[in-house]
Amino acid sequence: MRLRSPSKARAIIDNVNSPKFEPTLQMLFNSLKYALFLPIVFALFWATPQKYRVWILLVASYVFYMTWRPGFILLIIGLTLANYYIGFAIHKAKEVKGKKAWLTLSVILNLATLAFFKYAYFFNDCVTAFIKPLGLPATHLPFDIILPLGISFFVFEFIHYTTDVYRGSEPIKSLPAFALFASFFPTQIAGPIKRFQDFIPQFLAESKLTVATFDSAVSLILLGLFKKVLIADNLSFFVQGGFGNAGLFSGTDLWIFTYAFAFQIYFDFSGYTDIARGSAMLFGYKVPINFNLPYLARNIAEFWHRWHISLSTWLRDYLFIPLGGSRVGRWKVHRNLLITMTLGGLWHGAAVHYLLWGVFHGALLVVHREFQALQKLPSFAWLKNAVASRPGTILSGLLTFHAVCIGWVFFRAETNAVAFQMIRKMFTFAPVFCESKMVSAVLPTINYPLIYPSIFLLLPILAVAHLIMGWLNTTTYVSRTPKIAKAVWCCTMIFLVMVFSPDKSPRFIYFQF
Amino acid sequence: MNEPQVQPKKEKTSFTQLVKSLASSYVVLAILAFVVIDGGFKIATSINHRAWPMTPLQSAYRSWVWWNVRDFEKEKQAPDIVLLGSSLMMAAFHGGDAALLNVPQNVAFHHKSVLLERLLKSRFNRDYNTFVFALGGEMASDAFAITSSLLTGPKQPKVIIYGIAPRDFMDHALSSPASTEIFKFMSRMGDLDEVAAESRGSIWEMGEYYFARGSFVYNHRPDFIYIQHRLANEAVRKVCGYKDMDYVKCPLMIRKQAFLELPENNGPNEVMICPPSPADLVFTDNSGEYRYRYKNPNMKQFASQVGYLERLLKLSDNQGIKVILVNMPLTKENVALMPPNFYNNYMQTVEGLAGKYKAQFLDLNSEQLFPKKYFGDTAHLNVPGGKHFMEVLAEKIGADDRVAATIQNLPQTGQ
Repeated sequence: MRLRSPSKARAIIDNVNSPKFEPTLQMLFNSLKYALFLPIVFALFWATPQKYRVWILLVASYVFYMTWRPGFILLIIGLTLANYYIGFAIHKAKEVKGKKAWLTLSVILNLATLAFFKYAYFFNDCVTAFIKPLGLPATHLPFDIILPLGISFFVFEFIHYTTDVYRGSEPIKSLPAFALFASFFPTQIAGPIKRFQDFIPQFLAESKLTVATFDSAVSLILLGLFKKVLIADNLSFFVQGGFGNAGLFSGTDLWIFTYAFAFQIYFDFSGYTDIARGSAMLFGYKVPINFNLPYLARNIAEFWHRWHISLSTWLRDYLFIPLGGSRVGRWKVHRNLLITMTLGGLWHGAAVHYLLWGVFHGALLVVHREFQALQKLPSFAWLKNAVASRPGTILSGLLTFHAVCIGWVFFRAETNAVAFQMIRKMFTFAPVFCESKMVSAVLPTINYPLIYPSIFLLLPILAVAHLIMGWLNTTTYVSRTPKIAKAVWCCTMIFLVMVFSPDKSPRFIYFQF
Repeated sequence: MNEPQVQPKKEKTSFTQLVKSLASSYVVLAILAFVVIDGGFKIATSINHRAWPMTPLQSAYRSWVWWNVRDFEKEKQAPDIVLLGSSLMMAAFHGGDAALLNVPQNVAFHHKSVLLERLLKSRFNRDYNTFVFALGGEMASDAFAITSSLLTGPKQPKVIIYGIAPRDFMDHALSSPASTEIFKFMSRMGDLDEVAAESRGSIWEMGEYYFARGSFVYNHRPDFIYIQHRLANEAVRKVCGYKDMDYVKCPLMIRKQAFLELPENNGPNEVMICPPSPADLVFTDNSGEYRYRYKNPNMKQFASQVGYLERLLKLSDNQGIKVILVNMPLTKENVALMPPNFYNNYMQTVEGLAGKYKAQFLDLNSEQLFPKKYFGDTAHLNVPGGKHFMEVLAEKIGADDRVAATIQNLPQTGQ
């Protein structure tokens, strides 16, 4: 029994209308608004002659963005026009020097925009931290900055475009098609980061919708909603409790929170991607996959081939390779990996813990490369065989998953100090029955749908589901499933999504990046 | 393999071909199956409401209003007096009883103002039976929802004492009247269709409301969640061997913490209001919270909430329930946070409504009556303040002839 003073009690009682739940985004994929918006755009798109369809999608995409903050549409339009004309300037420039100058302008323009909106506070904090020991007063930005949604994604798409034009690709002639490439509403806010060579031809080709495509698209959307609202959203309440109050918990607790977050972020982001891909498919467009069962990876390099694939390939093509890639000396490759992953970490957010997450993954990749090199030595052939064996594969998978989980602590923790505190505790191995006085307390049931009290059942189920999906991918069972079984599956999805979505669904995690 | 076309623009597709194409889609088949099942349930329950045996009290969530309603349903007879109000009244009532009885008051179970019952008995020399529906964050719309859903039937009280404050009419943190837990729960208890349109703040909320009206499954989401919760409980009980999952000795702090993060889901021993102690007499400055609540004055919201108060008064008047509106004490610092002239406007409005519907109005917001030592923060009374509030309330009731007559002349319960 917990006794509370009235003031502490009121803090809980009055929480019903607390400001922390105030919504900021107007049209989430898992909202009723999107459930109305998407069919309207779908109907308009297919009812319109082919040559006007790009315009329908462009207007719809701008409307989609403006439901958040209308003014920021000017940012997208401005960057679109600038990069469109820079693309032509690069193409028309006769000398490499001229091409390079235009490309540099494009990269600076895009990165400066990103730096201003995303990193201004971070830079300011760094300056303050630097000058504070000198006795100088803290610096303050003279204005408030709001991070435009999806900026990290469309800026990367613009850089990809101008860089590829510089490398010899043909620029996009159609302005509406180019504008749509950057603003296409299914991928506008959180990717996947598209490649214009794959995407633009689809816009310009005649769209065709088959029943099979329609079914696949809607099934993908339902699956995405299932992942987001049933699994990720329900896990988020649990994860928030743990990471928000890390100091209160034992190492065992923190491992469970970390596992929960590992599944939350995966289901949140892959759920978003499924909805994005399904939505795009409804208009006849294919968007690349972004995830391929990442927690089945047997090493960290494989993990990055399976996790946020569009970002990892972008970082490879536009950062790692220009730095020299892996065709340089051993230590330079290590340097390139560390730089790439550190900047990849900072891309997620302007905070030290994201930077540490990137450094951590960079270090893991370096260790992995060294380990691979070790296995190639004749005297370590036994090690190669051990890793390739079945128990070795399972152990590698488990080690990789746990290494990724430790990375997630840096990613999710509110600050780096909290992250280190958590890591320290997680490796202290306190007994499950912690010494807290709460051990003997009589506690009420946690009645949240789905998760409580089933959290301890759910995490193993999610892990097993991952394995089953991996196995299903290697078989033809899904494609051979009778239509009636697929219909039952879809009907069940509709029911589950409708019933178990939390009333206050949190935003997709990757919307903040 | 040739795939049938859903909407080929250039090929002229006949209606039968289109239907044939749609029929070959398993997604369309799934949607149709869902609509048929959903409609079947809706028709079955409209013919016989017992076809779906769930009640609103069978809920996976146990919000504060759930605990109140559960105990109100258990009451064998209608209370003489019901107290309504927000956490201001709630703090006063629990604090008063904690001070009087000198034992911690369990917020989930304690719904009768023992102190007020005793004070009224000593003044009017007869027994009174009270029930308190004062809940944290209760807006005027919530008070109306409680009154219309629960207080006009067989459990109709004789008197409602409603403690009001400006925050109950204008709160920046409130998106719409229908968004509060109290309103949502009461919508399941009674018929609030009459105020459906104006209680929804946006066209989307209205859309959701009509969708819920049309879909059996969507409208009964809490029931399905309850069923899932019961099944999960059973499964864990079987696996872990607990006799009763409601009272598990939990080895992991995570359960406790997760619980604290869900304020609308409150356990039976979650909050206790303790008897007075020097440690609890510390004043907490919560002006930041109220600055937020009062910011950007939304006069449309104010007018809407005043409308709900008027409905409550009108309904009570029609039902023969006497209403005593009590303007709750606040610190002058709290009043100073309100938009200019707002407090005067509020006072004029509620006094005018009280007069119009023959409700009595007691203004207890006075620094002489409630100096700062009685406050735990800028708005809520502390434990001694709660006791003092009930004493002042009883005294004011006795001193005002009309109010005294109302209380004095109540028919005895059971008559």
